[in-house]
Amino acid sequence: MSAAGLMLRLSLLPFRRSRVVIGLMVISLAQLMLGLWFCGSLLGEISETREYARDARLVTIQMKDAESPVDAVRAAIGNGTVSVEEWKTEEVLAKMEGEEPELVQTVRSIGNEGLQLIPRLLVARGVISEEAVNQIRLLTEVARVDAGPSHHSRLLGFYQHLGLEIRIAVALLLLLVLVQMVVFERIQARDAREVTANLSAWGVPAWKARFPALVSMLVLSLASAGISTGEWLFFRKWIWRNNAFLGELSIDRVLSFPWLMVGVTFAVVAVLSVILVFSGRAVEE
Amino acid sequence: MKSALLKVENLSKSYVEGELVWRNVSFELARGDFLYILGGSGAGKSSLLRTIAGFESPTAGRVVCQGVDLQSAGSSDLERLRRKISFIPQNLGLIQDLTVEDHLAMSCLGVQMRERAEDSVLKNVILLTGLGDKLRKRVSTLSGGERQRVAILRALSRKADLLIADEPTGAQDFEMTWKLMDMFVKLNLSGTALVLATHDLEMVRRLRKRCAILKDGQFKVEERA
Repeated sequence: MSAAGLMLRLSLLPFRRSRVVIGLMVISLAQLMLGLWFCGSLLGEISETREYARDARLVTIQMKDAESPVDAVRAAIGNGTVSVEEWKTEEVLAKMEGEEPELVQTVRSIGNEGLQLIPRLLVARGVISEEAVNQIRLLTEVARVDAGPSHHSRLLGFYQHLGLEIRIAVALLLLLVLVQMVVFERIQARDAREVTANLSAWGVPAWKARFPALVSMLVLSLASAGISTGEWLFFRKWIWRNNAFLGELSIDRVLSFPWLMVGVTFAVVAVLSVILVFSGRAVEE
Repeated sequence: MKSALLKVENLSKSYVEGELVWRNVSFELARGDFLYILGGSGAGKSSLLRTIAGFESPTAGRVVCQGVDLQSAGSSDLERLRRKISFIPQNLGLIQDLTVEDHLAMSCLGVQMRERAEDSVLKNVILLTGLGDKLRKRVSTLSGGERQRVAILRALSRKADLLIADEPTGAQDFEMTWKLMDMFVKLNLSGTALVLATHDLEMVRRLRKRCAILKDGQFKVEERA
């Protein structure tokens, strides 16, 4: 048997001996990790949404006539976080019909020439650069371009505060992860002591003798991370689909995987494990 | 004159202040020496062996092994010494959920290949202890006698300069006891120094080795039993 294989077997001792307690601990740690990852993901999304709310504009592009091609305009706008709505002459008239029925009737009565008065429109909402707006203005098929801010300023404060609340939640969840790790260390202390004492008795260096205890903690966090990843994949679409609170500001895609928060979680877990195992307080030989 | 492998000087031990379990224990052991420590139950044999092996600290006195004072030795010196000393404690020190093979691997984890027992020697010990078909079994599934043999097998899985054994045959039947004793004697003849604690006077008489008696806290070495 290889030394690594033996170390792994030794590190799995607490899992064999306290299956139920440690099983529950793995599940509860997984939920904390899932909470952290959702918080991380929402923080990422919120920052994008805040950016959108701050920079988004409403650009109305009036084409020269109803037949003008719009491909060049669409290309200039790009397809990032911009939604484009296209209104043809008839659609514009249909929309106006409720508010200005007489005007619509007059236009229709003029015939084809009248229809030219109500041109084809493109309405773009989103983060569109000034450069793109100027480029659209220069297109020969475009008659007029109006650009104005899309007013989401009240939402900015809300998202800023929401971001702060999520950060506080992250800090509290990390504290709970710390508590879980300390409790796990207490549960496995007896087994870790037995293994450390046994290895030390046979001349294994002290740092190496504590390795199984460290690996136990990493196995616990990896198992929890596995469960929370599964839950994440299962729930992320559902959460995003059913959380319409971001309204038109939401970006039309499922939550992105929060690699940064996953990294932070594992860094915290790894540092805690090293401190708990090698501090000497936990594993008295 | 042989140089001392183990030197025990005026060793005393007390767990409760003013009550010494044993006092002024002094003896020397050279490579290839054999010493029985004979004493009744509760005489302090186990604590003496644990102290000699460096797992407990004495209240007074010192233990010097291969020139290193165990009480003032640094961790690296202690680790080096523990690779040269095999210890079979009375409680066997086995991990119940591990297999016999795992225990053999553990005892060899800290030592280099050349410090491990040769394959032929190990096979012979496995055969003799009757554990050949139990190597992959968990210790918790073995009987008391078998567990004791696992502890012996583990101790013999590497080349030690000194073997300290605390009643290593206490759970064996007559036949197995003598097989194991025969093995210990052969090991001793090959150069390993042995310290064996026992309360079996008959065994001490038969083997006619150097013997120390621990009684009422007093330690007295007899040259021949």
